[in-house]
Amino acid sequence: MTRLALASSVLALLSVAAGGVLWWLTGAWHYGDLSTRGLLHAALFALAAVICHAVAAVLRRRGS
Amino acid sequence: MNRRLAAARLLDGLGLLLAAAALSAVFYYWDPSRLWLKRQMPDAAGRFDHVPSGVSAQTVSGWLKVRDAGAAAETRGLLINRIFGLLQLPTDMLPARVLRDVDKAPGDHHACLSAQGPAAVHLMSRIDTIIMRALACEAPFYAAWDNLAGIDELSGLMKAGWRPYSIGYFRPRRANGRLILLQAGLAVTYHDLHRLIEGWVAEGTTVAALNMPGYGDNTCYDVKRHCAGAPLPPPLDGVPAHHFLPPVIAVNHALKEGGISQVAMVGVSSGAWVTAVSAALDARITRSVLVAGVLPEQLLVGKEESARSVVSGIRDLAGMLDFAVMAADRPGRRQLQVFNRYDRCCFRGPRPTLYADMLARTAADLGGAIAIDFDESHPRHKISSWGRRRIDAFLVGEVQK
Repeated sequence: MTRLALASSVLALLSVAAGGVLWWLTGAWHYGDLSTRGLLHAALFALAAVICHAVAAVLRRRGS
Repeated sequence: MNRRLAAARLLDGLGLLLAAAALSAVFYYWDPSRLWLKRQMPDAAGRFDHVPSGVSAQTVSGWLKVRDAGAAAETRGLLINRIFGLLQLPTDMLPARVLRDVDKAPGDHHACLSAQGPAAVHLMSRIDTIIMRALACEAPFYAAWDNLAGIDELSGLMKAGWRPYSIGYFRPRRANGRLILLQAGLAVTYHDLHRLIEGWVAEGTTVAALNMPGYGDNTCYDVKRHCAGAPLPPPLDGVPAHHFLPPVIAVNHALKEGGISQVAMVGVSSGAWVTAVSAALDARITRSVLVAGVLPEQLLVGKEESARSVVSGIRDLAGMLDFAVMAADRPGRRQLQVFNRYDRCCFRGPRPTLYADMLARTAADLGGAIAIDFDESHPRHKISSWGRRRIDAFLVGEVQK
C-alpha cells in the first residue's frame, strides 16, 4: 500500500470513528446531533475506500 | 503488468475520493457543520433572517382576539361545544380499552411491518422514520429502559372502520408526579421520539405518547386490535375530535390512576398545533411546549400549510395567537414555543418575533406566562438536545432562558 493510500484509509476510518463517537454521545438515533443515516453514509464510503485501497495494494504486489 | 498498475492507480484514486466522501458525510450530517453549511447558502439571509414584507407587529396585533380572562373562558366554551358537542370538557371519558404491560405481553396483534419482523423495523427506525409502527411491535424493545415499570396501551374507536385512537402510556417505577403528553407530528410516530420518552421515564415522568390521526396505531391497519367495538357518537367521531379527544382521555386516565401533580404537553411540528389547541381547551394542562410548529395562519408558507388541517372546523372561533393566550390564562399556566431558526423543513426564521412580546405581555396580564425561544443549534426539523434541555428547564419552572 502506498503512503497516500495508507493516509487515505486512515482518514476514512478516522471519519467513521469520529462519526461513531458523535452519534453515540447524542443518543445513537435518528434525531441525534449526527443522524444514524449520516453515520451509515460515512461508514459505507469508508468501507468502500478501504476496499479500493486494499485491492489496489494486492494488484501492485502481483504486478511487481 | 502495466495494466495491473494502471488499475491499482485507478482504485487508489477512487479510494481517495471515497475517503473524502466519508469525511464529507460526517461534516454534512453533523448538526453544527451542517448548520454552518446552511448559513453559507446564497439564499440563507432571505430564508432565515427576514420577516415577510408587508407584515408588522401592528398588523399581527390585530390577529389576537382573546385578551382577557372572560374572552378566554368564552372562547374555550365555544371550542368545547364545537369539538365535543358538550358544554364542558369530557373529563369523565376514559379509554375504551386498557391493555396493561404491553412491553411484557403485547397480546394478539397484526404482523409487524416487516417480513423480517420487528427487529428490522426497530433497526430501520434508527435510520429513518416509519409512519405505521405499532406499539405492540415496538414495546418489547423498550422493556429494559431504566425506571420503566410498564407500558400500557390505551385505545378506543372514534369512527367505525376508520379512526381509532391509541395512546402509549409509559409508567415509571419511581414517579415524580409529572405527566407529559407527547404529541408527535405528521410523517412520524412517537416511536421515532423514543429517546425523549426514555429520558423522561428515567427521571420519573409518566409519558402518554400520541400520534396524529392516521399514523402508527391510529389506523385500522390492525382491524381486530384497534377497530373492533363500538365507535363514539357524533360529534365525537368528527375530524376535530380525532385530534383533540385523545389528549383529554389521556389526562383523564392519568388523573384516575393517581399520583399526578403536574400535567404538561409537548408537541412537535403538526403535533405542536394539536398541543396548542389542547392546552387552550384543557386548563388541567398547566405547561405546554410547542416545538417547530405553530405560527398564525396568516404567516404560513409552503409546506407549513399542511398544518392548517389540524384546526379545520374551529379556525373561525380562534386563531393560533388566541390559543397561546388561552393556554397561559391564569397563574400557574405557562407556554413555551421553540422554533428551529434554521429548520430545513418549515417554521424557520424570525417570524415569531413579530408577536413574542405581545403574547408575553398578554399572558402576564392574566397571571400566566408565554416564552418564545429560537433553537439555533441545528438546521433540522426536530427536538434537539438543546431543545430537550430547554423543555426540561421550562417544565421545572424556568420560563425565560
